[in-house]
Amino acid sequence: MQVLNDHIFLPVLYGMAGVILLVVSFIIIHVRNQNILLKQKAAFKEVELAHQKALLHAIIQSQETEQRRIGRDLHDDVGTALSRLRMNMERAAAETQMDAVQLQLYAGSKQIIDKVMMDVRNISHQLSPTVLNLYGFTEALYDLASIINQAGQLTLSISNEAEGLLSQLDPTASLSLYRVIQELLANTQKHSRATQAVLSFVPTGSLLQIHYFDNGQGMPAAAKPHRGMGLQNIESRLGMIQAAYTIEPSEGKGFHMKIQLVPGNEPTP
Amino acid sequence: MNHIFLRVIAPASILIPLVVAPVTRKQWSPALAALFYFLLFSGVINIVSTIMAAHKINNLPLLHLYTAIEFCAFGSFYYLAATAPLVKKGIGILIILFPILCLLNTLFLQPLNQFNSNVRTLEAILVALMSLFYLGRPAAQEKGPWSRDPCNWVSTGVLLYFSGSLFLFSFANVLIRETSAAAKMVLWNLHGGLVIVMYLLMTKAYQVCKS
Repeated sequence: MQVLNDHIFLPVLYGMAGVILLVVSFIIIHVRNQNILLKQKAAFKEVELAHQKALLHAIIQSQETEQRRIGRDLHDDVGTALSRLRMNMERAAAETQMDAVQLQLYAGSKQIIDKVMMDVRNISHQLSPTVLNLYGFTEALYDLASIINQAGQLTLSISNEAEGLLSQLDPTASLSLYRVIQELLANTQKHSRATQAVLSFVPTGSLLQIHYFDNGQGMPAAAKPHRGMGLQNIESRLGMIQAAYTIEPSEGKGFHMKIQLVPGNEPTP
Repeated sequence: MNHIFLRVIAPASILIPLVVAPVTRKQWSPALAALFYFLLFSGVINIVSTIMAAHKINNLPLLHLYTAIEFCAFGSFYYLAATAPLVKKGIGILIILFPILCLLNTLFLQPLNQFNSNVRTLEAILVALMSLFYLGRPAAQEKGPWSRDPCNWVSTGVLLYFSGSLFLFSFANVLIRETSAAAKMVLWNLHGGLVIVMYLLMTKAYQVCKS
């Protein structure tokens, strides 16, 4: 091996080695800084997301409080006033001799009052599901089903194999799920032209699976289905209780939504 | 052994990105596509120069052509990868000017049988600067982790190769005249090592496309 005694050789070699060292150091420091920045960005986004969730939670809570108040007022004030009106009419009818026309008018008016009372009751139930607070989620659902079935347009049947898991739902989760089911039923009644709807609760270990089917026209099989207010509401409510959902594409074969959540795992407000 | 590394292993290392890259061709950005075509061209030049060297024919004229095309290729790569209009405009002007400079250098300063150290050094500085510009772009333009951007890997390889070889390119003619064969061998082997590292990092860039 020849001895490397050239004057220019060593400076060039040192120069090359030095630059390589500098570049490698620069890359390492740069990558480290970029990763730190990315982590900070992710942490900031997480905080922002948590803040948005808290805001959404507060909005939904205040909306619930307001609905409960309106429902209670409707039930207590309007409902009571209508009952008194009906009783007064009955008393007046009992104390008055009426001809055939007046009797017909009286019976028609009573029918109208009965219908208004029924409507007020249903609206106040929808706004403030008192059964939910008093008897729990399952009873509230059966109550909702009876209201839906009474209307005659749609038949809702419930299959519940997860009573144990349902009893573990906290009040916020119960109310959210109840509202989601209300929204699904409203969508079915408004858009799907369905005659039958089925709600089933299936336990899979600690996971609660909720299936909602109807025999209507289903969702269009578009790549990105249009997310109306109803679906956005469902998404917000489910997001609030950390429940996942999927909509099975089923154009012309009815609508199917699957909801999954772990009761007792919902975030505390 | 040294000759094998310099004349066979280092030039043949271009086959690594050329073989790996097509696997992810559907995910290539326009910049990566441009780079691949340049790598194909480089592969052809490597074969031709190896054959010329084996037949004792001076292959330096090829380097004069290669330098101009290499600069245009890396310029195009950064032109396509960059987002800032001003940077794009600057690179566009350089892509037009640099081949003219190469021609003038060959005609008046360093003829075809001489190492074109003037433009090769200038090319190394400009390409290293472009890679630095890319790597140092504002954090707001980052869309994900550093390692997921293929152009970051290409830029690392390019920066390492061109800045590492800068001294070698600028002193190439002096080294050819003044140093012993063994000294030249050490330095050009180091250059060969940098070439391999650059091609390996480019291979990684094409692999990253997959994810």
